[in-house]
Amino acid sequence: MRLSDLLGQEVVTEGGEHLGRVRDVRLVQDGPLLGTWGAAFRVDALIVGRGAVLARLGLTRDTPSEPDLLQRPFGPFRRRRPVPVPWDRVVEVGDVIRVTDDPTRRSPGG
Amino acid sequence: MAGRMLLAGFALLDRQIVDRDGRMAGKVDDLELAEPDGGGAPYVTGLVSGRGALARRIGGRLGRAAAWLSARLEASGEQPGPIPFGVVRELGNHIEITLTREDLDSFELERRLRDGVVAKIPGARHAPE
Amino acid sequence: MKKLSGIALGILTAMGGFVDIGDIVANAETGARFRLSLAWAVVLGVGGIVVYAEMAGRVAAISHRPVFDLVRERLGARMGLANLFASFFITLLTLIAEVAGIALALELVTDVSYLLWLPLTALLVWLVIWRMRFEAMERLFGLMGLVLIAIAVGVWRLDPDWGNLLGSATRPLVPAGEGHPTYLYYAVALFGAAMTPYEVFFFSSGGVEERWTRRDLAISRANVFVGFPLGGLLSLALMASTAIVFAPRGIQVSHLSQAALPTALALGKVGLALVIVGFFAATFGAALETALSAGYTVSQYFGWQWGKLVAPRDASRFHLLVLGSIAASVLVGLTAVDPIKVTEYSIVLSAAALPLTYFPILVVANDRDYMGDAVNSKLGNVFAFGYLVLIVVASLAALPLMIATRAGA
Repeated sequence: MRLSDLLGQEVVTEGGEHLGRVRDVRLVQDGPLLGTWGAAFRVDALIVGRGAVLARLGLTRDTPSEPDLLQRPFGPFRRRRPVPVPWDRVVEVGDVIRVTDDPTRRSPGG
Repeated sequence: MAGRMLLAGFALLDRQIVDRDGRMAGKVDDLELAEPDGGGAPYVTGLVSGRGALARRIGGRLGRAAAWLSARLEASGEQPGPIPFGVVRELGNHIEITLTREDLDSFELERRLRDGVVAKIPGARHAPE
Repeated sequence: MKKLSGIALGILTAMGGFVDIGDIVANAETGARFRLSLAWAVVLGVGGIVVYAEMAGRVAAISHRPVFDLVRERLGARMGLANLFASFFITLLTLIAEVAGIALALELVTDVSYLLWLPLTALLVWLVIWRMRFEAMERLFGLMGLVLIAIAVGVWRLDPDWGNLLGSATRPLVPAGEGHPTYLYYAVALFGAAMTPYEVFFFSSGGVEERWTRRDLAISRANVFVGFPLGGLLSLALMASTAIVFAPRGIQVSHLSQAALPTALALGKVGLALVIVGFFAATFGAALETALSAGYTVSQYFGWQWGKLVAPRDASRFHLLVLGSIAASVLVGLTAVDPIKVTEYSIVLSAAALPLTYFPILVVANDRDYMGDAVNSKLGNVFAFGYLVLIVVASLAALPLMIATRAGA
């Protein structure tokens, strides 16, 4: 699998809800050891939502180093915050990425 | 262990790769991911650098044309393999690796142009004085 | 002299933006047609290029990343490629015009057709890039171009009615007989010429070629704050010289030799000689700037080794690109296309593509991951955002104005 197989893909829950597209992929460095580098970067979560272009430019990053003055002019675009979807919710990566329903939200049935 | 956290598309993709001697060795055009045998989340095993990978990301008619052209330019007809992540030395605003660019598959076209054309022009061997 | 050569990069870069072949003729033409009523567009452009080149130089000094690296990183593979197509095309158009421009300057001196000079000038441009050290190159051509100060001396010697002349600059009015769209078209063209993207490609790559580090921030700033205003001053002097000599007589300017005439009138043979040497140096410098930028943009997009710091054989694709671009410029030039028309089109096209280059610079100059504490100041951002708005307006207006006015006809 390549990173480009994930980026830009539509994310749909098993319940049929469209969550948006994969904007970026969050990695955590706690995977197996690789060569002289050390621990591998493991896929932790898909960052799903709109505003991929602005994120790409670095305007809607959620890091402490986010350019502060840029937040204001682009504030209106930030309202739809991207949501991380943890990798353990991913069921299948194909034409779309199927994920389980959000366990933190009450499902309609129960 | 809680490791370093970063965004793949933002912090790795499209960054400059710099080799052991400080020479530029391509861009990170894609990342190779592997799924562990016992299941679980995939992890990054390599940096993919080369025209084929880039063409795939550009997509559309232009991407297909570029992919076709790049396959023809490859002497072996094969796409360059990924650079194993184990040779990465440092991640910053560029990515340093412990190999030289001559070790990489993606260097092939540069090598052919160098040996076939550029090195034959007088004065090619020394930096300008 | 030592101080002056430290800012040769800024001076050479500014020559390419303000007094290259297209600008020489465009400035002379606007002076004759509009007197100084379009001077504000040049002044505005100087401000814009100063603000953005300062950021690009600072990013290059601190992170060692030139502008097209940032374009690829922040716009991604697809949008970055779109910008690469646009920027490379514009740069190549300008190179075609500059190579022909050097030949035109030689034609003025020798009376031998510029078409015969073309292959020789192209060979010279290539040899300088192939074998001359970056610093030697920028000093030779940047400082030689400074003789264009003769134009400013000429303006002073012509002893114009200063009140009248400055009045036309401070109260910008569309002169009788000229339409508003035409006036605006020239305003966008002058602004676009001042901010042509190859200036920041060349300036930031040059900073990396000179191995700038955090300690060289002051040098980078000196380059920006002296080089570009100086370029702007030369272009205004040229405009003033034709405003004084041609405008009252209703003479239109369309040829390089006419741009040299006012200085020849004021300073005699010496003035003429200085101006022609200056035209030669400035167009030669602009040819070096655009030929190198053609190689810089493509190499930096794909991540290939680029630059003059390494032996040519170690940057093969970069040098082949530069060589190919120069060869293409000779071939196109030999078809006897009007080099001045070519730059006019390329300037307007580049105005349309400006935001794609300047926006990534602004974003990265604000990014602490790259810049540490050297990010933009609040005041700097106020200027940068203001200019970004202007750049977007100019880019949207450029093509419609060109079509509406049939390129300022």
